[in-house]
Amino acid sequence: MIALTSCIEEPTEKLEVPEQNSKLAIVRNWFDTHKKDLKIGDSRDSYRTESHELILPFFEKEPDWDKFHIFQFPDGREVYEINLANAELYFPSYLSDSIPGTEPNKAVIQNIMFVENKENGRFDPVIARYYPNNENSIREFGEIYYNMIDLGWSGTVDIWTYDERHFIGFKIQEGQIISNYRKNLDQNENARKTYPQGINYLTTHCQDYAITYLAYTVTAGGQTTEHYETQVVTECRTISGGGAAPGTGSGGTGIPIGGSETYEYGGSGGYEYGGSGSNGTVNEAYVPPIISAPDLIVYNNLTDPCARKIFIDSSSPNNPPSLDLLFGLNINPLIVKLFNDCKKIPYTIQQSNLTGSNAITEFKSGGIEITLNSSYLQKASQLSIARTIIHENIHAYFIHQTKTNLDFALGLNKFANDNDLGNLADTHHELMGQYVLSMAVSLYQWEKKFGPNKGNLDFDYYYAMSFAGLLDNKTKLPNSSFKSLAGDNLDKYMQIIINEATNSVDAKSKPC
Amino acid sequence: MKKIILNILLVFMLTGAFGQTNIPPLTIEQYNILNSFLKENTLLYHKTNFSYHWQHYLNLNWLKNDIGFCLYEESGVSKNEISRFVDETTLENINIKIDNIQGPYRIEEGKINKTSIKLVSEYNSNNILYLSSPIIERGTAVILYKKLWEEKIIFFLKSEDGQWNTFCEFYIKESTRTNGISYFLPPK
Repeated sequence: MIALTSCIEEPTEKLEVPEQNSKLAIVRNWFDTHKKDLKIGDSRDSYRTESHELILPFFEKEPDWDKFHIFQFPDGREVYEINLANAELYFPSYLSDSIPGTEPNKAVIQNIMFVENKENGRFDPVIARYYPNNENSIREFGEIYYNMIDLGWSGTVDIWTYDERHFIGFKIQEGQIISNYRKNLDQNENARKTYPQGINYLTTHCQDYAITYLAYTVTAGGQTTEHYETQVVTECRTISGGGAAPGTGSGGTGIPIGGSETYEYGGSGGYEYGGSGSNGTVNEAYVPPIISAPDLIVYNNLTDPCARKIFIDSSSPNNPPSLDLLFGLNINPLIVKLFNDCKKIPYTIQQSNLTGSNAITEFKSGGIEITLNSSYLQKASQLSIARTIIHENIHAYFIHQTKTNLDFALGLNKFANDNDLGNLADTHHELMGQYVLSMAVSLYQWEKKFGPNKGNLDFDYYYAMSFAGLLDNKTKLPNSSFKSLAGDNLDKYMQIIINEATNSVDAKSKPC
Repeated sequence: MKKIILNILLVFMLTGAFGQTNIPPLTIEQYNILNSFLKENTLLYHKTNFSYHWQHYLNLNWLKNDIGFCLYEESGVSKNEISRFVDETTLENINIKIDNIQGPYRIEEGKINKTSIKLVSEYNSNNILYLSSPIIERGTAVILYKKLWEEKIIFFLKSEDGQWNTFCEFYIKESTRTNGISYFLPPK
């Protein structure tokens, strides 16, 4: 068994603990030195009053330096995202409606993001707030950060400047960016969108609307105060030249190769703070850093609502590894998480009409594309669709590893040569024999929580389903792995697979 | 009537012969490259393809930035290290040579060393291997390899004793598709 490992090349994981601590120490020292300069001075009061920006009351930020994520924006700048230990928390009113009875500090994650500036050595921060819009999207600090928003998460990510001016917000639906928005009180843009060179953005669909609402409550020391605001909100969906923007669900992935959308704070074009720093420097400017949109590279472009749900349910942390069966071998959510964590290879799942296959997985143009056959989705049972998604994810995992792990790439080449396997499908399907048990556990875990039988089928049934597709490319008969592992159950397993794929009367699951 | 038929036959034969001779053969050096890496029991299409899309991948910028590995023998390096083996000028000259290819080249069975390699002229199998003509630039050569839905680029280096050796290969497309016959458009 080749163990599913974490993304060892991702900066967060790649850095040894001493190196992480060393880098964090630099950021922490910078913050301790400069935070006085980042405070809003008295001279700011009139500006705040006259400004048409949405500006929240300032409070002293207290990073909890033991809770951090380190990642990079696509342009290579390092970002240090630290949890805020503050009791103060801005809590939009809509959250009370979407998650009634939930304590704000249990639902909202509030972090400070220090963004490396390679030119001047500064780490000017912004504030990131994660507001889930349903109970299933409530996450712990370790489960969500700016560059790692999972498929099961829906809500808004709000970015504020250090002094609490609204910068940009992103609406997220099931791990996909649906739109970005700015909270303005006039026509001035708070965030100016900039595009990397070479990207042909055709259209930006923006809509302005005014709302009056309970903008936030401030909770501190058991005291809660309410603040109402009237705002113009500008919400934009961007259509890129390469197809639909991520999350819009049609026409390709819209992945801007070689860069991503960035946002520059434009409320007052940057501004300076007076006073002197601890090193005696005067008039050091706090300029909110240019930020990228969350780099979410797992694109769920399935249009069939049932298949879409099965993918999310089986592949997101809502379906966590369990310890109650077979050592928690629930590999499927970990594979999608691997793509999301590593940011090396974009992952897209979609549907289309295919000939002769229930699904295919391809590596092309630098990304993974899983395509499910639309006609198969219409006739197969839910269990069959789930097992197909898991099967294709194993392919995706193999390809990911051959691109990111030299030992795996060489090992797979050797495996193919030693076993005289002449193509990718045969090579993967032979190796997949080593993953059948993990696939069965993943299928069981999905079925237990989300499937029509609630995990009440015999485990052997899930095990049988996990052999689907392990066929010899030329003969279309079970390959060596299938035959040796299934033994005398070969025919029985084959029949189970066919029953579920065609949703025959003997199928035990239900159609979508 | 007989004369007309004879004339038609003559024209047909001449056209056919012209068609054959119009497709130039590969050079001995190019055969040396093919013979250095082709495996036993291969179905090989009898003409080289001359599609150009692979030039997109033959520049150092792409090779440096694209993810993956340059595999050779039982070893390999990250693809962004390929500039250790091939300089930019070499790649530019290779691209110029690809630009100048006018059409397919003929592959002759007698010049392929391994007797189990069969040359085929019909698109009737999923297992047919399609190759570009080997592009040689001094001691470096490159070839596009396509089989069903998979495509890879192979680099070769010439040793001091004149042998061509694979030193790097990487996939530009991989797929688990197993159906359909995928092929380059037949040469006109």
